Parts: sequence; C-alpha cells; structure tokens
Amino acid sequence: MRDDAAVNRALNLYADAVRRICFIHLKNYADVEDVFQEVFLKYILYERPFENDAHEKAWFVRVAINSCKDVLKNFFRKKVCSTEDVDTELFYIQDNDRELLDCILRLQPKYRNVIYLSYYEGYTAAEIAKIVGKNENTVYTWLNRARKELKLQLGGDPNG
Amino acid sequence: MDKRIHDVFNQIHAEETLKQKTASFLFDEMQKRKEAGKANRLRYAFVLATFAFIILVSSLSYNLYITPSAYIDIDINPSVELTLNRFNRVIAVSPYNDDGEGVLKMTSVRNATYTEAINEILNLMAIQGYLEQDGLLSLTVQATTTNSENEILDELVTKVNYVLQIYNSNATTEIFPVSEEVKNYAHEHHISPAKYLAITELQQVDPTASFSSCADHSISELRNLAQEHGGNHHAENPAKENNMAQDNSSNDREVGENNNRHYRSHH
Repeated sequence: MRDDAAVNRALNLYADAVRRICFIHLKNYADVEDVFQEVFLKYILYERPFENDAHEKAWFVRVAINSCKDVLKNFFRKKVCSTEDVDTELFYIQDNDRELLDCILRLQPKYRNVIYLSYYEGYTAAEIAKIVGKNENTVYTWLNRARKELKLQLGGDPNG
Repeated sequence: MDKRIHDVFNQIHAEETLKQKTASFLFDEMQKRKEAGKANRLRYAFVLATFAFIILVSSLSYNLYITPSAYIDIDINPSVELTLNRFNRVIAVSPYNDDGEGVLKMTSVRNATYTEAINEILNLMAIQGYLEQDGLLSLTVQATTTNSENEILDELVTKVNYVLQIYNSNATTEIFPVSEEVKNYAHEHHISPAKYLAITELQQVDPTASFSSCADHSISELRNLAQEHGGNHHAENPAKENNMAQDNSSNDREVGENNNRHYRSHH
C-alpha cells in the first residue's frame, strides 16, 4: 500500500486529468466524487511499480475511463449529458466555449475519449489504442468520425 | 478547432474541495487497512502460537507416552520382552527366539496395561503347553524407579500364581528385578536378562560356554549344566550383588545385600 506522500503527489499530478475524464462521462457530481475517490483508492492499493511518469499517467487515464464505464453500466443512468444536465457549477467554462463543450458531450463516449486524449493530452493513436484497448486503426476511425461530427454540430464543413 | 478543444478542456480542473475530500477519504482508508492488517497479523500470530502450542503439547505427550519406563522379560523358552511406558502400558513387544515370536504373533498387547498383557501371554503359553512340564518360568523386571519396580513385581507374582493355578501347572517360577546394566548386557546378546544371568553363572564353572552357544538352551538346562560342572550357586549380578537363599517356601521375599527384592515361588 502506498504512503501519504504518494497520495499527495498523485493528487497534485493527476487530479485534473481524472476530473476531466469524469466530466466528459458522468452526469452528476455524486458519481464524479465516487469515481474520483475510487480511482485514487485503486492507486494506493496498486503495488506494482510504474516504469515512468507517462506509464503512471496512462494508468490513471485507463482506470478513470473504466470506472466511469462501470458507473454508466448502471441501468438507471442516462447515457448522454450536456452542460445543462451536469449539476456542478461550471463557472470556470467561458461562455464561448460552452457550445463546443456541449457538442463534445453529445458525442458517443468512445469518441469523447479519443477527442480528449488526442486533443488535450496529446496522445498518439497508438498510445490511445493501448489505453482504450482497441487497435490503432479503430482509434483513427473514431477520431475521424468524432471530428466530422463536431464540425457538423458546430455548423462547419465536416470534410474541412 | 484543435486549439479550441484544447482550451475547453484546459478550463476543467479538479475542485479543491474534491481533492481535500478525496485525500481525507484515502487517509482514512489507509488507516483502516493498517489497523485491519495489524489485527490480522495478531490473529495470525495467535493462530500460529496456538498451533505451535498444540504441536508442542502433542509432541511432548507423544514422547512421554513412547518413552520406556520399565521392561518385563518372560522366559520359559518362548522368550519375550515387554517394554512399558510410565503409564504402565505396553509400548513395544520383542521376541528373543522363534517360540517367542510365535507367541507374540498370536497376541495383541500393544497399548494394553502390563497386567492385561501378562495375562494374555501367560494364558497363551499355557494353552500352547509351555507351562505343562516341570519347567522354569523366569520373569524379570527392570524399571526406572524402585517404586514402580516393586509394584510390577507384586502384580506379576499375583498374576503368575493365578495362571499357574488355573492350569495346574508344575512349573517353577522366579520373579525378580534386574539392574539396567544387566538388562543392557542381555539386550546386547539378544537374550532375556534371566538367561543372561544363567549363562554367566555357567561361565563361572565352564569358561568355554559362550552366549551364542548357550542362547538356545532353556534357563533350567543352563542351570543344570552349571550344577553338573560343579557350580552350586547363582550368578552374581554385575551391577548388584544378588544372593539367593535356598528356600523352597512359596512366595518368599528375600532381601539381598543391596536391598534387592527377590521373589521365588514354587508350584
């Protein structure tokens, strides 16, 4: 079991990434809290060493995505959410970005993942494939489709 | 669009309250698990200690049970030895000759009390005809304490007298204690202590007599040979002097020079 220092370090380094993944998948704040705590609890109980920081971060991302999936498998939960549904205070999202965020949240969960991991975390398709457990070509396909859909929603040319 | 998507996500951060709540939750969990681990270790240690204690007690009890405390040798020419533990139970039986082996094969006296064992063996010997003739039945006892030795001797006298009466046997009997040294010498030559003493008695008048050549003779034959060669006294116990008086009364007790009790009965 990891110690207090490891807990503090992990929270400082990976809290935002985990929070973002929870944000793009989960509807309500209670679920966000549960998944957030669950991911870090798994981290302190995970005894195998990581090869490096990148390996450690990829572990957090994968566990967060899987934990959100587990919560969403619950029959009584809605699968789609928008910024209006989320009951957290999104005071930190600028108004002109809310529309884009809304469009992202309307994508299928698998597309939301690849959009986030590619555009924000900067993972390559190969790295995303390892994280989500699919092959690289599938990730390229999802990225392509996600971009087209976003452009369509935003009113732009999907082929541009 | 790429930059816009990046900027959108860049505005999403983990709330401080969420981080603090999570940190608090994690520290509580770690504490609970440490205490549970300690409790488990204590439980495990207790179980191990209990197990070790049981093993120790069992092992000590077993050792106590299997530790020899006394030896009874019966020699009428089936020659057998019973090894007793401190609880007067038979823990081993050993034949000294083929006849003895034949008798023991027909008995089941392990873990029985020595009185039950003696009763069974003597009855079997009587049934097989070993007590019918005017032979000599020798029983010797070697025990770690004098008290238990005397107790066993008294019991043997009673038992032997009873069996001989039932079968109307004319056998002469002698029941006496021997020292550990005599018993050990007898063991070395794979004969009963009574036979060992008879052979050493013979060797005093016939130095050519050897243990190997005399082992197949009965004790009465050895005594007769000793008398023929001019010996008219019994062997000295190498460890204790054991003078026998020539007294034909039954169930006499004679006290030798070193306070050894010597029983002899005639039927």
